[in-house]
Amino acid sequence: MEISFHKDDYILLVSPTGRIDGYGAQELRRVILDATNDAIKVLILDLSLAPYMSSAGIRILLESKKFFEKRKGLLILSGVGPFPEEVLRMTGLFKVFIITPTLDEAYLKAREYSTTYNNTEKSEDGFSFTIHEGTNEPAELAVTGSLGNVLHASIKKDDVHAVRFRDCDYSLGLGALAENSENARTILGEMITLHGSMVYVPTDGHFIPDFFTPLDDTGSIKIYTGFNIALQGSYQKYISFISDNAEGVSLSRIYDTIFHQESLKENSKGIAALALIGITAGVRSSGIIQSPIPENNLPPGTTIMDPDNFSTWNALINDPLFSGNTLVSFGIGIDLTHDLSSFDESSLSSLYYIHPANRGVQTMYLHNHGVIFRGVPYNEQDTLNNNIKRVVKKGEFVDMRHLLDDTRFIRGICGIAYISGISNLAEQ
Amino acid sequence: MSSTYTLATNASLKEISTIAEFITSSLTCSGVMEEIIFAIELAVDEITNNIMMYAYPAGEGTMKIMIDVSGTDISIEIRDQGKEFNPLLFPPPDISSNSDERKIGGLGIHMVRSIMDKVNYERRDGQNILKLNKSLSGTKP
Repeated sequence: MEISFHKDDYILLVSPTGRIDGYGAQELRRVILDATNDAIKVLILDLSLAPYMSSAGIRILLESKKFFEKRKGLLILSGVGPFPEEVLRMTGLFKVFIITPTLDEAYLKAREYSTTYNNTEKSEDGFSFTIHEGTNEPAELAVTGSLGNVLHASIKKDDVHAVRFRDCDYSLGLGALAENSENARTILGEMITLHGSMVYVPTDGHFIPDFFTPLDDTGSIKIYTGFNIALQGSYQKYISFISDNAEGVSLSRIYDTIFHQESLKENSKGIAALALIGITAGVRSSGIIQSPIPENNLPPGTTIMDPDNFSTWNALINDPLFSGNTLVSFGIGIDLTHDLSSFDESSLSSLYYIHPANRGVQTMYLHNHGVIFRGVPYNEQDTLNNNIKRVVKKGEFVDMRHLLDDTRFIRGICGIAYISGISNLAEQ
Repeated sequence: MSSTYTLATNASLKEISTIAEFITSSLTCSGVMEEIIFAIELAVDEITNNIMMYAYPAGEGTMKIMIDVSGTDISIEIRDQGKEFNPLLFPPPDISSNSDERKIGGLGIHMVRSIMDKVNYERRDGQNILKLNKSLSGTKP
């Protein structure tokens, strides 16, 4: 049995050629499961070249129907021949399935279906979105440590701080889980916390991400960090968005909208935190590979981002990876064209760093981390928090990365917290 | 006038197409209409699938399929040496319900019953013996 498939945005077309008997049904099942990534909402099964089907085939059809309905999707059968039709009628299942005579009609139905979750109101070059109101409460950033210590690889014993797990609903930075702060200091790596779970990539030479969710957090579990940015407060605006093309919309494009779109910019004081869950069209990323501590001997007066040092301190992956998977990200953006004088100067300077060569040229500074999951596609009808909780709890963990600004999304929901103040915990 | 055809094969998913070819060629030789051949292929497919799943759950085993066409009567006998298993004891599925939430077990044997005129099971000499009969003068497709 030959089975071909074709993906077009959220539509997966699977075309088996041959008999769907016990053997063929197994093959078909495997292809459907392998080809269905988190982006897929509608499965069109083209049966025009499958003249024979047994009850084993019917089982796969029923299983697929349930599988897609569970992810708020749809199964459409197309080109059902006389014999499979008879088999479906014999078992009383003909009316259970959505069946179209031709593939064109199947695609028409599949495209109609997108309107059930894509009801965006506003459109900008390349993507469409809807703005939803969130809380009126102000949001602040709580910074631990300083990004400067990271970039200059100067994190000493006193620069590692313990933060309580429960104080980091949404945060990102550089951290580790260990018995004590000194052990943590030597393996500090890219870190993100999302709703009670922490993921970090220890710089211990193995770089196997550690995904940790305490079962019973009494407040005693601590994360050691050399630099961390935590959101205090919640999101004032939510955006659900969809890209107009297969390349997807970039993280920088989303931040650009947050800072400059007509009905959004009035909230901005120049800094925003962004939590996002969506289907990625490609993750471009980097990650620190040595703990930024003096023992690792960064040449004095340089940073780990300088061209001469970059590759010994960072692993850069410029090829877009994980397309079609679910990406949950959290991070901050700073609009460098905005007046930032309302923020405490030393706290602000602990938050970001602009390479001298880019001063005056760069218009935004972004710092975002993301966790890649698969198997639990997000639900457009549900809230951001519920979606993130569900995916973190039930999704299959794939990887965790420091996101480059050109990481792209096919569609997603994000929460925007316009920041009105920054506090630095380590300085208090 | 009567013709008999026999196939001895492994009870394995890999042999499904061999079995299908055997049915097609045997019945074509006897001049049976194509729609009937397809239906009988399906009935035998369902029975042999059950044998693979329930008579030989561990995976190893053989089975024998005998087809006899005499006049307008087709009789098929399928034997295996596996665990005792009577597919006719499957409770009939609730096919009146439009819901896909219903149990999907028993669909195969329901189709066998719909296609054939007579289905008999017997356990004899350590063998499962299933006999299927279809009369071509009948009205079922």
